[in-house]
Amino acid sequence: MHYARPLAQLVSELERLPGVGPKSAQRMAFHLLRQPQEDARRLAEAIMSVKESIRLCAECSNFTDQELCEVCRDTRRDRALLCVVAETRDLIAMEKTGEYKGMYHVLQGLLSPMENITPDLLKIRELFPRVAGGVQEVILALNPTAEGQTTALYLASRLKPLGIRVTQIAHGLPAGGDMEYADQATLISALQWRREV
Amino acid sequence: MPSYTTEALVLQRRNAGENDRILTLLTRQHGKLSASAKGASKAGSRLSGATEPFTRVRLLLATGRSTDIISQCEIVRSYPVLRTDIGRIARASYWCELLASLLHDRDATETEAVFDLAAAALNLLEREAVWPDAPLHGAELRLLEITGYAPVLHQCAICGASLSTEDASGFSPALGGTLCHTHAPQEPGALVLTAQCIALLQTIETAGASTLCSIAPPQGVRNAVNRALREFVRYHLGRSMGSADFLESIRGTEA
Repeated sequence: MHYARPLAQLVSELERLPGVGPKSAQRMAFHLLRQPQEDARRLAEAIMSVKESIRLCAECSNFTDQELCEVCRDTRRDRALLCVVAETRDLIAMEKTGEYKGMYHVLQGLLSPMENITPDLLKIRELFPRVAGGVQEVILALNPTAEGQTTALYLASRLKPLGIRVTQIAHGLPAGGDMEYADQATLISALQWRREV
Repeated sequence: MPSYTTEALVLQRRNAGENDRILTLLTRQHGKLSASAKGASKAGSRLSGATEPFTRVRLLLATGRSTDIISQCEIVRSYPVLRTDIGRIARASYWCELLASLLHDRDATETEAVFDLAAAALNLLEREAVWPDAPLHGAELRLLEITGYAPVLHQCAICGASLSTEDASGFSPALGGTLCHTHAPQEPGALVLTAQCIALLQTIETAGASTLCSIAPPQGVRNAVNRALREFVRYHLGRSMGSADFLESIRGTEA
């Protein structure tokens, strides 16, 4: 069974999206085909608008549609605190806590020596002028993975000689978690990051 | 679906789809192989911690059509000290990439010896060493020997003449090792190595753990030995490893 050429092209493009296999791509394509012309146009315009208007914030490398992102434009935030995250979605997760009122720096990835993701491919160089501008503490909020830890240790090794306080968010059991079902690596991490009560 | 248990070291990990991970494992019984960890990328998955690189695990694997699937997983050792220092994590990354690059899938040659060497090297990388590259190079030379790529360090790789360290003056990755005074200048790709560097390589080749952790050569000798082995591995792999470049940049800040 062959699709008409435009339909085949749509299925092929949708298949390239993360987590979308051939069956899902086919289902989405037929769904779009059945939608009114206006709905399909809105979707196409939304995709093009994102590609044309979204860029990296000149200060923190967050995604934004202006020169500076919303966080960097906010004058009420504490500029002495800088939280380093890997991706914009990590920044959003931190913002949802409502607890953090400092600034951010988005690396746009994590170091992975084995996959050739080196410091020059990330927004690491851009971090140092920011730190020199009155930052007192850098909080490393990176995933507790080999890549996250490599990045955290790399940044700490370069920031600490500058006399900056460098901290890392705790790793361990999740809120509401059950110790019985935690894996050993998480429990080991929780033990290492324990604190006095 | 038949299943089997094995002990393994997680060498590499990559995400597959939204929630799965494909691991490169070094197993005790079956050598290097790939396995799928279903759902390991999901938050709260019991497989997520055990599927991190530099972790020693005990696995129950189901035989799949192309890739085996991890059914159960238990951490034997997570090498926590490796994750506390950029030099240690860079060397562990290099070691795991070297194992993944040099070994062939399901090659049953000396699997137990390779597994024990790989695990012992990670143990040693957690220990304090005067020159942290010495334990790494010790394991590297032993792995090259097991896989049949060991460099010649006691003879001239061209004329075969037995060399005392005073006679040696070059090292050629392409020709397989040290060169004598006569042949070193004739080989365009040869690296110039002092007698002290060659003596150090010979020591590292046979030294035990405590010696490897206490060797303290001068910085110039360290740099030359690092370069010789790096070029040797690059020549035999036919490519430069990403973790080798990263380790080199870290060494620059340690000096």
